[in-house]
Amino acid sequence: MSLYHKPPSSNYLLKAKSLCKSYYQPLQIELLRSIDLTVLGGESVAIVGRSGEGKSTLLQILGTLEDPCSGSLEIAGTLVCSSNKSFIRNQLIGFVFQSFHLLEDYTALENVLMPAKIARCKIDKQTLEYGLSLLEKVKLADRAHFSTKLLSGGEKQRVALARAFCNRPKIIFADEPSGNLDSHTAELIHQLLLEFVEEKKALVLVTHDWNLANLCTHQFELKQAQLTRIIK
Amino acid sequence: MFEFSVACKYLIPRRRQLSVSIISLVSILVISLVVWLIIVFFSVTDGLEKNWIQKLTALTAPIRVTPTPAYYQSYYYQVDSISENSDYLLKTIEEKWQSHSTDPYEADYDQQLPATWPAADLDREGKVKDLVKLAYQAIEQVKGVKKIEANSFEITTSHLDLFLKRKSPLLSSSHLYSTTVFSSLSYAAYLGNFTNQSQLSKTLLPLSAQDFNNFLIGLEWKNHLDEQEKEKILSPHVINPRLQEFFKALQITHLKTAALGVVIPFQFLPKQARFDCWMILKNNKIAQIILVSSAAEEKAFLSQFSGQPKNMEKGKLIIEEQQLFWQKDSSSAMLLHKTVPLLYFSDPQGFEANLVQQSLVQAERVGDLLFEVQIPIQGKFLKGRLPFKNVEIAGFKQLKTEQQKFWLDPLDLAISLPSNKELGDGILLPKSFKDAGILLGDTGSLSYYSPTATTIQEQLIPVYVAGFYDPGIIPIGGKFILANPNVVSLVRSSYQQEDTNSLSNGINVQFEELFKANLVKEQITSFLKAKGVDRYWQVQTYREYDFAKEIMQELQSQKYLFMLIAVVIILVACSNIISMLIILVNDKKYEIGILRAMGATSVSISVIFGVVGTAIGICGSLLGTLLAITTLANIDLLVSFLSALQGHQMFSSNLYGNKLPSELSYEALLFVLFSTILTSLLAGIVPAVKACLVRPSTTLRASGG
Repeated sequence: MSLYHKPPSSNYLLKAKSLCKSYYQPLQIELLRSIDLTVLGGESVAIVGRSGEGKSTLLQILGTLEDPCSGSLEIAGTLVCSSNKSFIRNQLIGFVFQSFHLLEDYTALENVLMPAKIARCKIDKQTLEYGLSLLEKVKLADRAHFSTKLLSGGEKQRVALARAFCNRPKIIFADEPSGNLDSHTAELIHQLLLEFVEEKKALVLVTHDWNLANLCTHQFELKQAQLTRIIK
Repeated sequence: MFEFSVACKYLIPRRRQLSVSIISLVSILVISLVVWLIIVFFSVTDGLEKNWIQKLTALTAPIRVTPTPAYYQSYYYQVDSISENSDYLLKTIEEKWQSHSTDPYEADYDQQLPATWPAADLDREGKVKDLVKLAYQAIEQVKGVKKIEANSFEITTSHLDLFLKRKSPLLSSSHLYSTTVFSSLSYAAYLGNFTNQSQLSKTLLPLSAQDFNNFLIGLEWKNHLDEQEKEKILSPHVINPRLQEFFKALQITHLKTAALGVVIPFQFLPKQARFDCWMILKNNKIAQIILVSSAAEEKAFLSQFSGQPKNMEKGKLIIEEQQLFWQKDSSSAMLLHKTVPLLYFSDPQGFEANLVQQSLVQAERVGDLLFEVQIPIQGKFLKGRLPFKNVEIAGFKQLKTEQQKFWLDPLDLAISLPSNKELGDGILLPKSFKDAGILLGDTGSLSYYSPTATTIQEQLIPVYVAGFYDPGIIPIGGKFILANPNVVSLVRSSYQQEDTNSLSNGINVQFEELFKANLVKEQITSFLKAKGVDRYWQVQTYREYDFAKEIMQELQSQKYLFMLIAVVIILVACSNIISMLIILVNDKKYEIGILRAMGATSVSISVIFGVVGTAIGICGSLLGTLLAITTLANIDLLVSFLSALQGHQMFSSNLYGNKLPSELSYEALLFVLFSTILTSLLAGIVPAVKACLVRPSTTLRASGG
């Protein structure tokens, strides 16, 4: 474990170097070509682009959910390799997806605490209270013991957000976090995500929503397999 | 462990996962059925094997030390035939063991030793080695086994004649007659000696009321060997002591009427009563009045008369002030003459009866015995003293007695075969004789041939049946008679002694802890080897006996065969788990993706599915075990059901005993639980690997739109 807890060699929370991704089936498509990206603590990055350009793929590669064809990835000073991916996902990263991806047979609170469970934390009173406080943060304390099946889309996304916060990650990856939501909920979610960044943490999100993109410190556009920074 | 909580979620049936739930339910049921079948089968076969081995070793011994051909050729054995000190007679092992001298040969007056004989086997001091005593020493020195005993055995062949006397009812026109039918049976049989084997009581069969009845009636008969004499009944001064002895060992509690019914004496009748009865007409006169104990018995009684209903009429017997009347329906009553006998038929359970001790003291014949009885007739009881005529024993109680009884019963622990001066030697017969209708107390003779100066004469040894035993599966068991050692010796000595068949003479080594048989064998052989006499003796455990070896091996190979089949069935049953888990993995791909995204390792994911598979395996095995335990507890029901289905007895009692064993075999239980859980764990591997290979990015994107 000491390997993972060494202080970061730099203050980069995310450092991607010449990431490439191609698909060979059914046609050879080069989705990402030598992409470099660095994100510092306290920074938020928005990636925009047309659909089909590979934004989500890039986000999943950055979030270790998918392997790049080549290139290296460092998260919070740790070089990602196949043996530490699970640890990184559990401890250093939080995910928010457009379609929430909650576990359906569990309650909201159980969903929120699942990362803690996977980290083998003891589920005692303190942990439960922590889980409730996270739900309170997303203004869903009253829904804690509801099965996620019974929640609305906005509520689900807030639960997902609370779950992403559970293990106090360094970076949150968000894929269209407010894509399907009403403006009021979307705003709440944006606000929560940006609050997170203020604690010297990082946010990488993929969006079509320029309002959200403009709230971030940096904006990038993915076009023809290249990531270019948009400078205003 | 979050893996367990996730696995639990998957195990609880949900409507959305109907297919998975049904498949897991089916797998649990199939596994439990397989487990049930295997445990029941193994428990029963294990129990049968144990029973058989128990019977085998009770009748023989866990270990036998038998002479080899080298023994019969040795100087030690042959020298008796030319020594005057031994009466020029070869000796059996028992005789050698009892004998004081090892070398009876006296060079001074015995004939010269034949040149063909091997030299005597001498020990260090130059004396002839006493082979039999060394063998006994080898058995005595065995350590680590409780209650080890050595007994010599002899087996020979003989001819058994049994002479049966049976009371038989005869029915002619309107009267029943009773006659004694004599018949004789003749068997060629093996004869073995009965040593004081405490183990043997395990194989003895319980004696029935019919047995004791036959014995009691037979007590007054002369042995059929004295057939020439006209008078076949013994004199009173022989009969009475026998009766006294009989009633010391047995108390009669219930009597029933014989097939012909019993005549009720007038003094039994109450002053006033009305009974349903049957009247038998003969030449238009009332010949008999028949009373039946209950309505149920009436049917059984009537079935005997199916041929002659026309002479019979149903009516009422009215007793009023010492007079008897017969009344049919509402017609006027008819006075009955006092000579008309009142025949009574009891039900098979009989009625309470107590021996009048005074009558026993005075009895000159069996019929003189009086019993204080309470005869139930249609709800009323008739009390009085009834002689032992036209009645049979229906219930009895065995009494504890220090003396040697006439018979052998499984209730007696320390047993020896009885021998009686007039009755003859008691013999134990195998179960097949009992099944053939031989009863306790039947007398007969064992024959052998003894050469005289001019001819070979048939000699008879009087014997009587003193009990029955269950020989189990020994091939010659159905013909193997046990008799006192002196009887066997006598018969065997009439044959040529150079009978090198190792089965005919040897030493039985008895002890209770069967599993130590190999240990005992090793100790005996190494002792014999150390003394240099191992070539004269063959030491065999019960698994190696020539006559039992094949069956033992058969049992063993059957067991392995079924074990193989069992493993295959378990594999098939558990393969259900594989398909169920694969469907579950496919169903849960999305959840697996989420868990992986949250940092669950691939090991965790495989553990989840492994746990699900194993849990199904465990549930199935537990259910099956419970079923098996209930089945074993009620195995008789199952057997009777199967027998009814098949139309004949499912398990022959000759082979399987009266009752199938119903003890749970822990060996089988362990085997089944272990193999089921192992295979269900293995069955979990394929789906678990499949689950590991689920890529979170693909599943999450697929359902993410």
